[in-house]
Amino acid sequence: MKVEIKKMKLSDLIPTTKNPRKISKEDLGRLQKSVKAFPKMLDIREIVIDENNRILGGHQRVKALLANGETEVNVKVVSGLTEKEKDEFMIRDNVQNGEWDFDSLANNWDDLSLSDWGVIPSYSENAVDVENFFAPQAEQKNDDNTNEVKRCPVCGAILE
Amino acid sequence: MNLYLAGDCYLKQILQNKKDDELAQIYLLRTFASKEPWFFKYYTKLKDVILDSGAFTFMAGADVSKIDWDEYIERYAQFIKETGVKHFIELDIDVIVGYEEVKRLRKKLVLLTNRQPIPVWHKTRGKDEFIKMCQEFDYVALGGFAIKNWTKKDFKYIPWFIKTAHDNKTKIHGLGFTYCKELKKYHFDSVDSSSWTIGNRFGCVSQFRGNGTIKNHARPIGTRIPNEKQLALATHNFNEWLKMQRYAEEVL
Repeated sequence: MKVEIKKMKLSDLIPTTKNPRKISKEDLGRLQKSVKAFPKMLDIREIVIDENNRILGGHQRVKALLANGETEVNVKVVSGLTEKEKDEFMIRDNVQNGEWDFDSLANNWDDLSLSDWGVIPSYSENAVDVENFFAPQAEQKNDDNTNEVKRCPVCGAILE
Repeated sequence: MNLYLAGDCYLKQILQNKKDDELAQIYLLRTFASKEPWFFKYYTKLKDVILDSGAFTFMAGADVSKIDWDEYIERYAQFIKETGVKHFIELDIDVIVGYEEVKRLRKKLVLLTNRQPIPVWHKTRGKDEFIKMCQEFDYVALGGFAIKNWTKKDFKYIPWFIKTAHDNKTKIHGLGFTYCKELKKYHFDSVDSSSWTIGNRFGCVSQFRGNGTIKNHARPIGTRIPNEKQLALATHNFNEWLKMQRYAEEVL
């Protein structure tokens, strides 16, 4: 087996027809942000291809780079693997052994970054129309005491 | 982590407007003192309910020296049996009757229901008693957050309590642990919060943020909540907190 690292055009890379992994639109968006925010990651962890430019590892990153408008990437060209070994690599490369230690993550890492990096899932949120629930005070003068100073029961801050 | 929503603000109407499959995902904490007949059916319809003894609510305005706690615990036990509620909290009235009496009442509750209550650890019980509670019970609670017995400086001890409980294969609940941002840091098995109810009292609109926090938008200056919007606001805030509940269950 021979291993060579070089820079290649993204357009020359060939996705495998039986890629065992897929990615959601949301996760792809997160990955696009990730490769843009930390491009050195792609120099450290190259896209793995065979001698025929077929991608063995890094399909999602290639998708993200293309979506970002990138044209080149560092690749690790692995020559001399049998077809069976290539298949085995594609599966083994994606097996996740171990799991996140959320206690350690929560106590030792910045959770905001973890959300951005996709470790802690970020759920969808809806915008709220604050004004929808309120009316000008003048409209209902006889109603209860909302003109009084309101304090948050938790922190004591004046709410206005 | 399971986040149980506590407190009441148009809760009856909010629950009435929910379909059975929506109800089956909701965690609530209710108190025995407000044993509303309308809520009975929800003990079986909701995903889970923790029942608090409501002793402190019961004491409000009453002559404490005249309260017959044995009679109270008998009624509490009867209610537990009638509703079939899975999780119920002991009468943690240490400050009123002392811990020895609390233990006697707890024992009586176990005998009457043939089930374990959730004992509530307070600082006055001491460290060794917490270990003992974890050895004896499947589910324990840390109390005192709601009445500010825990300062932020004390929070550094929380991981020890959680670890001790888990080392003993015991689940641990943070009673009144409403510090939303801290939930990621302290891995209780469950907590409860009544923060969803403050919107109507203080004029805030809650918004679940995708990263597992709740932002409260204050009402615009010069505005108020008109009567016809009160239920809509309570429903909105409840639903946003349900999203937080889901997030806690799946992520925290």
